[in-house]
Amino acid sequence: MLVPGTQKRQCLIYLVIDTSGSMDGTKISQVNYSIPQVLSSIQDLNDSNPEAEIEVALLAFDSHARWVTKNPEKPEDLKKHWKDLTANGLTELGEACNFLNEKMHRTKNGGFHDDSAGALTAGVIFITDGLPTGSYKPALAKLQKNHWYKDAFKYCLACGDDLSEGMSVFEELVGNNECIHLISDENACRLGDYIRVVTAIVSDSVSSTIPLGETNKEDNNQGTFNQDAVDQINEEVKSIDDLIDD
Amino acid sequence: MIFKKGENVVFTDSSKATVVEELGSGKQGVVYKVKYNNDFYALKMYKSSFLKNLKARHKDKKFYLNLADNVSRQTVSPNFIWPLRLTETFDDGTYGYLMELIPANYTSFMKILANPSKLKANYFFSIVTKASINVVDTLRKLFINGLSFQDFNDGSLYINQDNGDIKICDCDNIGPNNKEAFILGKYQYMAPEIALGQKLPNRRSDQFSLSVILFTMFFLTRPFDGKAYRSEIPSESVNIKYFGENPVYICNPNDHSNGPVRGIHRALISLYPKYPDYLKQAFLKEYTQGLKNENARLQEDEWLFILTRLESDIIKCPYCKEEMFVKDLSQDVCQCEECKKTFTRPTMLYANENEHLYGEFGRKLYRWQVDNSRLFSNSSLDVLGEVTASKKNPNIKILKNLSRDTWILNYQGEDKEISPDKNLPLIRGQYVTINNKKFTIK
Repeated sequence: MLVPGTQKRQCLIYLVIDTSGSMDGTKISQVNYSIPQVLSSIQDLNDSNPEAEIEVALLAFDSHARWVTKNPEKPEDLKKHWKDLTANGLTELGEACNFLNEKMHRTKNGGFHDDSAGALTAGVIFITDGLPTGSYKPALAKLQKNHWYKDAFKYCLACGDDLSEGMSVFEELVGNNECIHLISDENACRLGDYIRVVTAIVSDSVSSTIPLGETNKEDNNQGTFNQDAVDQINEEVKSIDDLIDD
Repeated sequence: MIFKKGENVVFTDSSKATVVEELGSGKQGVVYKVKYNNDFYALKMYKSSFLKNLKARHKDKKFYLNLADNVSRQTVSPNFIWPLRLTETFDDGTYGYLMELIPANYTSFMKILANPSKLKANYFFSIVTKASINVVDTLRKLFINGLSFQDFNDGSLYINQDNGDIKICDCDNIGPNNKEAFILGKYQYMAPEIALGQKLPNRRSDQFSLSVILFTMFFLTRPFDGKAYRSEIPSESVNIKYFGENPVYICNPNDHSNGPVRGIHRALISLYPKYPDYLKQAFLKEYTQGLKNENARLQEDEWLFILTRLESDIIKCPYCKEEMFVKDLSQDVCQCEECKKTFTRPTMLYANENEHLYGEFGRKLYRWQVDNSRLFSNSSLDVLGEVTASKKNPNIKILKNLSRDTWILNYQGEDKEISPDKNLPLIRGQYVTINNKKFTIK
């Protein structure tokens, strides 16, 4: 007897990758190395999660934004046609925000969120070195009103050794200063691990064990995710860093 | 505390283990494979975020003491992956415990649920029924010993798909019933009074979680994961609504508001018609009357009564070998639900509608089926007989007497003794008395 499976809720992970000229060199190389690897890890997460079917939507932006995935894709499908990204041009973050805003809707409204079998809150992971070249604030302000974005877990993997100027931009994108992790030359090799950690916790949000007592509801602009999720991600990220230090 | 390969971990009794590799990481902790006493074990180390959370609720010391109690208490069943040794507390305040490794031939129930197409499904009904009996019996042993599990869920269960044996892990929150609680559990498996914050996890809420596990095992679907719940994005308030304030059973015939959806709940829609009515009625009672009334929830002996009957009712198509349940005891000819061919039903040992056994190879006669007075004792699942093939004539099925008692076979008015280790041929038209209970072979 072949037992059919129950269709799972869609859990959409947006990877928003800066491919501007400043990412050229080791930064974009690390991205290109990490993405196919992390797609396999995400596939493993799908194989053991009865609630969530993780799909990936990948947006690249430089002088223009473009969807690498025309529609959200299963990790194994994206891996099949993955082509390395090249980095050049400007950093039009505003256009990336507009692209996100356009697709962060239900499929019936032309968006990426297929909730026919139910949906989970999305995860949005930015990989950028900051310093947008154009005016991004109006587009970001519009995006921040989008309820899928508002409810999503947002995390920024900030690439580069001198990110002081970009910090305020990262904070604006993710809504606080806790969901930013700095990727330097030392830890760039673990970029895929950071993406996996965030993806795992976002996709596990519906099925995870609830601790005793009130959850920590500190307002961190992370939508439906409480402070415990932020703390957990940061502890995991720290443990990855500790391994590198050793 | 993060360990690397080759590092030593010291336990409170001064014994040591050596880290081999990291096996995985969860919300509470990281699990390592370690070498201890020349054998491989697992070591769970708690994350500081988990311990910090306990400390914020003034539960950290009690949690540690409870874990130490569990280590000294020792397991109540070999099916539990029990804490065996407690580590020393490290400088950062973290600690962990040693336990057996889950054997490689056991599959995580979460993985089975995530991808049922990878099931070894040749004998799905036999295996899942056997596993369900094992789950109930294992938790029963916990409850009998005055303990409660507190967060029984799909992540706690591992199943051997070849024989239905089980292992239950995450035993660190186990403690004396109604004394202390350290965790609430997963919403999908949580009793309403826990989701609403009215009570802390206890044996009664464990019994509810147990029924959710059983339903999920049989139908590969959670009992409240219907269309209404799927229409919303889960958040804390949504979960409290659907699992605390107003849980609606997915198969409630009187309330379709949270029913299954074709194309989504494919497992439930495919499997539900295949099970006999008494199993469905048990779940209906559990998820209507038992929702708010803890006393209306099924007890373990009631589940064992239903589940061993369910096991007895499995027959196998002689043509395609697919399994099915006999739903009408009066029928002498069965039609296979898969290949649609008809065949004569197997010989049956029959006492009454509830107590009977189909003579399929490997089928077991349990003590409770002949002696209900032993239902509450640990011996109710003792195997008194097993159906095998006659060595002289493999076409004849026999029930081997595995008990210590002599059975009396009455054939054409004459009594014949079937001593322990002897065989009862399952030939229609005979009567057999086993422990004072008379069965007809028909």
